Amino acid sequence: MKRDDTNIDEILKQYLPRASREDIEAAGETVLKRIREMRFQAEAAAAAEEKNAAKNTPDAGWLHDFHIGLLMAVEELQGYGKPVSITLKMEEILEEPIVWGTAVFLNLLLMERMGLVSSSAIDPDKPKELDQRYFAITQSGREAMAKALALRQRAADRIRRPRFA
Amino acid sequence: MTTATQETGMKQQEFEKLFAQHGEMVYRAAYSVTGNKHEAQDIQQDVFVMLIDQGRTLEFTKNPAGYLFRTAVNKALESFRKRKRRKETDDGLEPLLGVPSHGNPHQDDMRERLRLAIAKLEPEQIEILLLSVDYGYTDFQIAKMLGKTRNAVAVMLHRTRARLKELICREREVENR
Repeated sequence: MKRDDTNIDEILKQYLPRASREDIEAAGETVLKRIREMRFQAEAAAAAEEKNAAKNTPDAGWLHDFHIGLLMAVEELQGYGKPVSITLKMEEILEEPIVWGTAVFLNLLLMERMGLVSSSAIDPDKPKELDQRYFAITQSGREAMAKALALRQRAADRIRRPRFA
Repeated sequence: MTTATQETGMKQQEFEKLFAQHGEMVYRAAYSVTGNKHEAQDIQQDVFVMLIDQGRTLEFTKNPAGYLFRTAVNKALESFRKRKRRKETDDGLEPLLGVPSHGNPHQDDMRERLRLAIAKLEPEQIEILLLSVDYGYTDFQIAKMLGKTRNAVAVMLHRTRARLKELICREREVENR
């Protein structure tokens, strides 16, 4: 019978792969960098984006009652407002019997360009028919509307405050 | 925009702390099983990315070292076996172990035989073996890390050595046939 001369401890000591200090450190650096890029850079970018968005809240000083009424109408129709239904909703909100439809339409296009509202074609086959589009308020539009309403509220408070108190 | 880390709650600071504490151990375990530094790097990355994506925090377990070590060994085993299968079906495209030759055919053979034998062990046996041989931990330290009794570790280590010896001898016999 052949003698079993396998010394397992010796084999393990001599042949088990052992990472060198150099390899361990190089791998640590590489992997750490990769993971930071993969999982945490997006987070940092999102935070920066949020900060920028807050900084870039649209100036609401130029919004008149007409514009605020328009944004309110678009918001109330919850993304299903067409130029005609938005005009009717505006009449309701502003308590004015006649709102000029063309002005509504032009302002909607202007606001879309400014990012305050967005629109999508009702019929995907007719994307160019501008009166056949649904309009929805954007986050930026909501912020501008809130800011404009707050400005009006402050102005109203100032008027109500006794001057020589 | 919502990122994985925002959803799961693992903060960068927590991750960096975990990586500083256990990154080396994960890499060493992966390297001992695969014998390939690029593969070990990928495993180290996978282990920590998985941790982040699962939303684990520093308090995720009473024993992060044991958990990470086990995960690293399992992943390394899986990777090694996958590579071996690929080699068997796609012979010649890639060296079996992906490890550079050390110039001595006898030593290269023994190295290969040892890795093949290790890959046939149970993950738990590999863990105990590496902690004992590579890290030089005592039975007591291993028991504490893996949440076992000292006796259980001693018995398992003894059996693992015997099994490894048997597997290496078998490999040698197959080669000599």
